[in-house]
Amino acid sequence: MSTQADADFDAIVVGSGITGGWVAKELCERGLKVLVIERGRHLDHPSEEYTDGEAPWELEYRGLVPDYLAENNRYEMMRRKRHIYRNEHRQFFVDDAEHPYSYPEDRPFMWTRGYQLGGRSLTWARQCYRWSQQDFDANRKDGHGSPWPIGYDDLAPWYDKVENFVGISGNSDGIDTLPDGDFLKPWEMSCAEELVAANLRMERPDRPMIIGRCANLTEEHEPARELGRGVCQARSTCSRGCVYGAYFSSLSATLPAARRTGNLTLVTDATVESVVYDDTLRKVTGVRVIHTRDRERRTFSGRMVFLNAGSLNSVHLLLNSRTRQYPSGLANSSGMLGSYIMDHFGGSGASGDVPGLDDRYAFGRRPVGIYVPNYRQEQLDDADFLRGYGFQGGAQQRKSERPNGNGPGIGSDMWERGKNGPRWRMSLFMYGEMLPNQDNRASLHPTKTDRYGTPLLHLDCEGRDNEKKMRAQGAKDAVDLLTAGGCTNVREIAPEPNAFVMLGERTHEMGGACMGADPRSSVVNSWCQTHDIANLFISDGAVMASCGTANPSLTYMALSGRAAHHAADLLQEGKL
Amino acid sequence: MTEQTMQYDPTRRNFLRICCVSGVPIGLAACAPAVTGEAGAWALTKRSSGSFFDAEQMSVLSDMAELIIGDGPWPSASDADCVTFLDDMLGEWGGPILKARLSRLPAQLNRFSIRQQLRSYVYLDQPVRAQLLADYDELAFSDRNSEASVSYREFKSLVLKIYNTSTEMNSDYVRVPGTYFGDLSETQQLGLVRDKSEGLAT
Ligand SMILES: Cc1cc2nc3c(=O)[nH]c(=O)nc-3n(C[C@H](O)[C@H](O)[C@H](O)COP(=O)(O)OP(=O)(O)OC[C@H]3O[C@@H](n4cnc5c(N)ncnc54)[C@H](O)[C@@H]3O)c2cc1C
Ligand code: SF4
Repeated sequence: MSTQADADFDAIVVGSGITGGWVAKELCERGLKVLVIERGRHLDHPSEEYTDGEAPWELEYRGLVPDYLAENNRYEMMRRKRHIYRNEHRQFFVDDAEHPYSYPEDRPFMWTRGYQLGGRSLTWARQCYRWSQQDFDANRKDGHGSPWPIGYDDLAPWYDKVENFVGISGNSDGIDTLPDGDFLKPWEMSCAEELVAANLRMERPDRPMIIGRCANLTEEHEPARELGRGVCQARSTCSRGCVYGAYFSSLSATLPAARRTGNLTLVTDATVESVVYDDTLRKVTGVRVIHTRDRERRTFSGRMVFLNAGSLNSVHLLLNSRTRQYPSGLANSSGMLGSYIMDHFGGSGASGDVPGLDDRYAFGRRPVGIYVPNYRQEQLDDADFLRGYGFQGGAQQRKSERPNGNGPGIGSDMWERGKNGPRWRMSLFMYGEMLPNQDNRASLHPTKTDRYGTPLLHLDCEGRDNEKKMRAQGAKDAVDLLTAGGCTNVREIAPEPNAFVMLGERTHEMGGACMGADPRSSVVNSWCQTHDIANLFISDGAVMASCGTANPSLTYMALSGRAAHHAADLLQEGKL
Repeated sequence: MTEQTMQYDPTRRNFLRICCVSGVPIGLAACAPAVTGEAGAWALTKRSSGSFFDAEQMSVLSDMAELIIGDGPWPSASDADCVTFLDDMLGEWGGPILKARLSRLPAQLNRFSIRQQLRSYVYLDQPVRAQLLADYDELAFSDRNSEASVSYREFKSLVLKIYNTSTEMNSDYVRVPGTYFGDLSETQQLGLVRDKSEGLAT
């Protein structure tokens, strides 16, 4: 445990990840006494658990996850995400065997979690994109999901504040569907990306390719410097922690900012089991926790509660907080709690050689790729689906000097095989917007429980027809973009048209306690305040009414900062 | 090769056990002339027992790794300590299934050798051994379901992972590049690597 705390708090924040960190910072800076409760272990920053400084040959087991874990069916879902199944950051990912959840056998859900102080802010890929008005209009326009009660203008001042504190690198690209911000200097494109982007400007001017915007400090930045955060050194080992604090995490940024106010109390190794509701007061009065080390149960009390446990965990908590008045889950008078679970989905894309640059090289390991923002929403002539998608990817130098053991050939044959093709190869991966669907649901499992006796979260979700059609078109578009961009030997990545679309793969799970103006069809109002209970707020991805195509955490942060600011106003005005 | 399969053939188990490498000490040079008639065929370097593999397994697996990586202007498998590293790691890192698979691999290769060359692997000349392993490799990737194929491919993949993360293969590794440039000439890039790598680059 970081600190023992018994006192009454102005606010209790459940979860210390990207959104919990923002709420804690905002509330503490407003002078409120805040308790952050985190189920995972305490970590310092920099932490002894960081492995960012280690060279490939210095990593324990050379970065290979112990094989006995796979043989014992541990880390089942992380194993499917091969590129992140690495030993050097495994300590920051949850093992499903330790923290089980459930799904129908034929409809798996990939839930990637990080239970430690800082949550997934330690391992996220730091891509930060604002939503545009088009994203907020989507539900209203095509009638799927709960219409957003806010628009871009409501969030823009908070995007500004968040970006200014976090430090986001990028260009002002002047793209309608991807609003600009006040960015730190952008990362450089590689020569191959420049070439493809330039060709696309001529051949597909409506489908621009830009350098990714990310939360890595490309230059000195005062708000970051004040917290001891340094400039990024282009090592691309971010998912292992960063001793420089050069990428944004709760550990390096929001929690230290909250701590320096003197208003923050942190309790770690404590899982919030449920929210305490007083039927008479019609308010929440605190939370019940289980200390994970000794299984002791206790209650913390606070004048308001913010749920920031990471979308599905916040939904889980509410479902598990059943009272006489809310027998199907707290703040669930609408019956919508657990509905409309979403994620971006992918599965399709393309890769191609970028010819003519065999004598050009890159130096350094850039921690971000390129981005093709959603252009599809407005270009549907050749498409039979609703909404759109964008692409992420990049051009890599082929490591032809590195043989690969996954294909046939030994000795010089194997080395030769690795050398085929030009030096540069570019890949694009689709990020699609799925339709909010009420039937994509999270619920409590009727019989299975975890080690503390809490019912498991059961996730029954899938991408449906619209998503499958979009995925098929996405593959065609990716081929077209690379071809128009001047690539050769273009290879389409296209799953079987009817193949299952698994949610959670993009680690952007959201929804389940959607925002809306109508209390009959949504769980929170435009301030992330539950319609039913005035002093209960949810400001993580659970409140998303649609999922857009852009990586969502910047929007979660803006929503969290805005909600916390509003909640502090209400508390100070005596309205809670 | 087409009629060959990598399926384990239990009816031949006893016969093969007699011939297999794990039953005959590799360094038993006295047996060589009797079987092959040519002492020169004993090119396999005898290894001592490791932390996990026994001496015979170490010898055959090291030889296989050497052939997989091959000879060329690149570090060899033994330069990069591939099998020694695997052997050191396997005890605590590997699960029982993988351990059993890798332990059986030398014997599996030997059976293949006996079928194809009518001699144990250790008695083959180095060029014949290289051809045999190339055939084995091809078969392992075309018939992916058999136990022997899985064992071999797992071994190869581990050898390559260890090889590619060795200091020998990362002489140009720059721990702290400081920044990123995306469009450099070879000379510019090499200059930066020389300046910023840890003296491993030549
Ligand atoms: C590999 C990876 C790459 C990603 N890349 C990007 C990206 O490029 N851009 C982007 O926008 N997003 C990205 N994401 C998603 C991003 O990490 C999440 O959107 C973000 O972390 C959500 O913030 P959060 O605070 O809601 O949840 P988290 O950061 O997950 O924090 C939730 C915290 O709550 C704690 N908690 C959970 N339940 C309880 C409980 N019952 N009691 C107490 N504490 C609890 C958890 O331990 C955790 O610390 C990525 C995620 C991963 C895993
Ligand atoms: S790339 Fe930058 S942010 Fe990432 S670990 Fe290295 S220095 Fe830190």
